[in-house]
Amino acid sequence: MNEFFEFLQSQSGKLAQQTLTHINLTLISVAIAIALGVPLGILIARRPRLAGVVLGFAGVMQTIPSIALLGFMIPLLGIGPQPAIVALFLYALLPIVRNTYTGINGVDPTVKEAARGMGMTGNQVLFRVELPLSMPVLIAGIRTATVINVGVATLAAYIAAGGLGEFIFGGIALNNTHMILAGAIPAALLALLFDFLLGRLQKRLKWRLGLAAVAGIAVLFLAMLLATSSAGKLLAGFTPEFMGRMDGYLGLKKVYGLNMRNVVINDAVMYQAMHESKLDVISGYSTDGRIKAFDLVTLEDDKTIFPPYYAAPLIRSGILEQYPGLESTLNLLAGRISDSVMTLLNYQADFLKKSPENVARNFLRQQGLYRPPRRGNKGVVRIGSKIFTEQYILVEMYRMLIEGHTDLAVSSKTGLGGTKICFDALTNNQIDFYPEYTGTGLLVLLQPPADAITRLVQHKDSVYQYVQAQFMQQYNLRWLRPIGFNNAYALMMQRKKADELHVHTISDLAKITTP
Amino acid sequence: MIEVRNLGKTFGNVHAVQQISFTVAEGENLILLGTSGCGKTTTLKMINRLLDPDEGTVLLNGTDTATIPPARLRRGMGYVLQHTGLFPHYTVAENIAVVPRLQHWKKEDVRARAAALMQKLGLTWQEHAHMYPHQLSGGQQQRVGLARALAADPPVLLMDEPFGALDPITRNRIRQEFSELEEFRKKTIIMVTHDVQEAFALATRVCLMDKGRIVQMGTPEELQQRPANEFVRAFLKL
Repeated sequence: MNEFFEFLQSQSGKLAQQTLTHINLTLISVAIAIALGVPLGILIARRPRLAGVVLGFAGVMQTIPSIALLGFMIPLLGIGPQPAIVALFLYALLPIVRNTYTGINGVDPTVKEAARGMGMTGNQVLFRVELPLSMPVLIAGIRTATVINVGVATLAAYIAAGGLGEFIFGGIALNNTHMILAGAIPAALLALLFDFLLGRLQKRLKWRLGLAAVAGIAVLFLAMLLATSSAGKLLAGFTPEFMGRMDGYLGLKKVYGLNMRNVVINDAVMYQAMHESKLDVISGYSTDGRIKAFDLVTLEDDKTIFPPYYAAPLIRSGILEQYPGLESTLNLLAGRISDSVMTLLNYQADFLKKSPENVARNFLRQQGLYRPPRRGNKGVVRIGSKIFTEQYILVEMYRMLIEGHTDLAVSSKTGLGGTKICFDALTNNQIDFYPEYTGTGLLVLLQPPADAITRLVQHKDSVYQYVQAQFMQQYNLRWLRPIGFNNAYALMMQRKKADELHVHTISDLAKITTP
Repeated sequence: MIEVRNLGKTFGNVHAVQQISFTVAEGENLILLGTSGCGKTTTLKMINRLLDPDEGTVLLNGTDTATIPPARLRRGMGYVLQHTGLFPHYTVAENIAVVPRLQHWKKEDVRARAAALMQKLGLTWQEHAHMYPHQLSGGQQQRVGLARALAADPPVLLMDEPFGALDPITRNRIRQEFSELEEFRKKTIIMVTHDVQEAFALATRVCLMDKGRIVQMGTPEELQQRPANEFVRAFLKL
């Protein structure tokens, strides 16, 4: 508990800023949704034939998964707050339009007739009778929209729009519970706070005041946003994980003295954003297929801050004892895949759109390792993977090897969000093994003292030996032999831009970005 | 003052109203009497253009009402509804003030007028002005509905079953009070009812309708003494 408060204290500046950004994103998007949704709701209450179309469209918008919607926004609006606000706005639209429509239709027809009979014009009936009487329902819609958006806004951190999602995703990636909570708790509190305030508004019906306040705040924040989004020098996009790591941005600052303008962004959209020149530098992985696809270059780590990330199966000791043939089967892959081969395999899956299964089978055939599945009746091995292509391919290879070389069956649980989720699944006996990287094992899972890291990272073998010994001792888990490639962190730029600026090493980059 | 010429209105293929013509002189009380669905309410709503006629015209002081903007036309005609149609989000005072405020009266005048009307209708400013409609009894609500219709002192009053939703005792009492108001005597009133007794108590002339057409029109005495046909005789229970 104390540690958590210490963490909060040490991050208070960042926390305040992220909370503000979060409120910002939520309120602006809801304000726009009110500004457009309420008139739209009024329109369809007047013309019922439009109602089906409009409500249908808003409904479809809400069924699109948030991540996908954010992804669609990048080609249209780039990265940062604008696309996030548009996506959030689309989410907020349905409850507001629907409740306006329902509210106005729910006004007693006798009262509407009386209003007309008294000599009110159409607008007077709307503003003096229909809107005030539908206000409780309308505000309930705004309330729903706001609470939804506080939640969805955490995902804005995926596309460099900031907000409390930075802590949440950073925490998940870094296996840092305090960091997850530092994002999740304020987000939950914000949702409760907004819900409470709007609930009061609903009861008191001081709606003019409330709407004016929301509009005012939104305008204020919008102005702030426009004021701060200054264009400038080179812009870097880093994943939440990279931002919080010694072998990431923290190390870049400390060892290279790098201090450049940066945003936090999700790995899945980072390359796309760079390809569209929204970003100049990104943090990637050295075997990513997109390096080949987008013609990127990796900057040389001339002061060696990125430790080696050799991939190897991380496996429960129990399962190896249970199925004696398993270890040698998994080790068939050891040393077979080099950096460039892995990049190529990733490229085939990501850009030539071959299924990971095909890529894996072709590779195993080439290597003469492929055998058709055997009986699969001696037991089941459960394989996990994180959610990216390389892991999918490796899992497929292991599946084929196990099915072809032993009588075991395989159930694979691909798509375990991040390192922490995979690792927890493994230690809780939900899976038997997954492909892990030595560097991740060292820095994310073991987290040894800084001086130990500095000593270890210089050699690939010393890191491997260290994690092997420590995992056995602490978790009774074993690292099998490395597959061969080193999927380390790397800073990347577009080849053309790197040549133009004569940037080839990280030191070069530090020189031109730091005054 | 009001002249109705050959009004006709069709809903789908139902002829709600056909060939209705009558004239109402200033200060007269015309009661549209008939069973449910005979077209009396439809006729009334065509006078203040809540419905637009398919055929025929309504003249107000010689002007075709189709040429008057509906909102302006209606502000000159008080309107009382059966189920009051009071605005649930307005207090009693605010409900009464609706039309004067639409006509941009001064605040003091609005308040004075509301207070005066409330007093005439047996409500007190202190007790009732700040109550909301749902806090009032049915009879009180109907009084507020009357006050709202009378507030801007319109020369014409249209009333659609104004006492219809009340219990018989309250209905008789309010009707009695209403007929004693000076407003009642001064104004040109067109009122819809299905209650023969009520019609005869309030009418200068009665217009008896059936199936969308006028069956007989005349003073209560004329209808009683010289009923035009069996229907009139049966309806009036003569």
